[in-house]
Amino acid sequence: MVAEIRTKEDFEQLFTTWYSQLCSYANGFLNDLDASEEIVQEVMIKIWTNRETLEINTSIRSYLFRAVRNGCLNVLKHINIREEYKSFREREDSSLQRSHEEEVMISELEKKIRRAIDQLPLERRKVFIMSRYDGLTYRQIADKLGISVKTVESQMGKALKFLREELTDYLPFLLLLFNFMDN
Amino acid sequence: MNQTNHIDEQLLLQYLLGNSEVEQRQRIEEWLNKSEAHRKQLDRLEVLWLETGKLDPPPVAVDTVAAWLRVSDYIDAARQERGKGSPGRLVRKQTFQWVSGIAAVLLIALGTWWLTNKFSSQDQMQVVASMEEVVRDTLPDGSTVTLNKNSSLTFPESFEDGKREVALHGEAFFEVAPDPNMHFIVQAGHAGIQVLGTAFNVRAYPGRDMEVSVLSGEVIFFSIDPQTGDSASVILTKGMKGVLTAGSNQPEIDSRHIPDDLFWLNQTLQFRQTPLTEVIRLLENRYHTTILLSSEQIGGCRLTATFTGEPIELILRVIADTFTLNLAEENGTYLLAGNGCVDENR
Repeated sequence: MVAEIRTKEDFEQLFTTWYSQLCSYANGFLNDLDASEEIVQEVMIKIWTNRETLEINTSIRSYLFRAVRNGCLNVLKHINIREEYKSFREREDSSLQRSHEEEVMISELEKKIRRAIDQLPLERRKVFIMSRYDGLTYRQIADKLGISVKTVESQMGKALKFLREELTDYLPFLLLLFNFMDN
Repeated sequence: MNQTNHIDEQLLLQYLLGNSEVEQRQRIEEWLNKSEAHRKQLDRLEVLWLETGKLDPPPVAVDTVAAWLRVSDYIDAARQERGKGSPGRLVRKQTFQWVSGIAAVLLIALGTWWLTNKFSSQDQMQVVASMEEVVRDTLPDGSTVTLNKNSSLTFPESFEDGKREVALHGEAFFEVAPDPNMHFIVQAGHAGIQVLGTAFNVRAYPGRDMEVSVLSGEVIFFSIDPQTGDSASVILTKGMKGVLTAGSNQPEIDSRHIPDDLFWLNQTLQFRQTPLTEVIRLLENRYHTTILLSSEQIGGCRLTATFTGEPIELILRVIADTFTLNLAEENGTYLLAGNGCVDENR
């Protein structure tokens, strides 16, 4: 697979496709976005530097996720405060368990949703993630980003509209399941 | 379409989450009853909301474009350096050497420009000034600046001639929009900071030490001797701090870690192996409260943790849990009681 990285454009393509997802994965271990970004960038640079000699027997995806996981575990090794370590361990264990399944199969839908979220413009993505995943109120989001509540509302509206359009092929099927379980 | 009758995703979501006001709820229910298609639309949104919530780990808002620029710069630089040293964990070091090379050239040009014309007088200048509160503003190139209290920033109405120059009095945090063709330069007295795109904090009060803290990317922190025109500089990368001692012309890397450096900006406290006595002193200052320790030994416990905007109760709870202490509160005074720590570093 990596044989395909011949030019810098190939590499840019690989980078932009996976960067955000790998950061999300690393952040699941480290709970530190800056450190996560740093690890992902290092992994990427290593791939570029070794592109001619690198042998990858699995898919590029598994390779990337494994490299990032190893990077994270290295960082975690250096953390010695007992309490923090304990909670890191818990996160680490659950992430590890999950990652095995993940390598076998990750649902088309999840890929599609992640990709759609990645396509949102940065500020809209921030707003959406803060609302959906960090559980912040519009007021809190507005304060954090230094924008008005009205802007948060409109960003959320646009984000949802975009996601709905992007996932339009999947929604009818899900809807069916959903109504089925509802009844 | 009539604006008030328009039902969009945003309103429907609020309805789904039960956050709609009564009047709005009625309006949406009327709309839902009008057609089966409307109901379907709500269902689709609900499914979408549920499905996005299943992502684990949750997605993060990283700036892929900025990250790519950084990595791309790095591999271009590494390409020129090929054959020297080994790749891998040298990210910082190689970038560093590369930037220093350019820096040397740039500084000569910059020094000349600096002493001769700083800002040409015919430019329309704008000033943002903060009095008793922190002020945030956007510059003509989309970069943002957050001014601490009692600070001001002067900049032209539009950036021209391939340069983005601003002049700072006081303290400010900059998030510079990346532009490989246009250097962004912050001037403060006879010193300055030059970057292409990054985030950093500058504290430049006349007569006091000048400090620069870098949150992402790299900056060149330089100083120019007003008498001789000689320049000196240091390169600062992410996480590093530079200091220019008052009266000196030689910026230096500052290895002291100040846990509450950026508290004014983002309420962040970053403790690294900080003794609890120091932690308590900073918390008392920042949260205007009193915190007592039951024994001196506790004060020697070393804390490594980052807090961002958490309430004081929560911070103290974390500290208590970390070192197995008891936390009690009475009339706004907190007490941490228990045994000291076994120093794991010795």
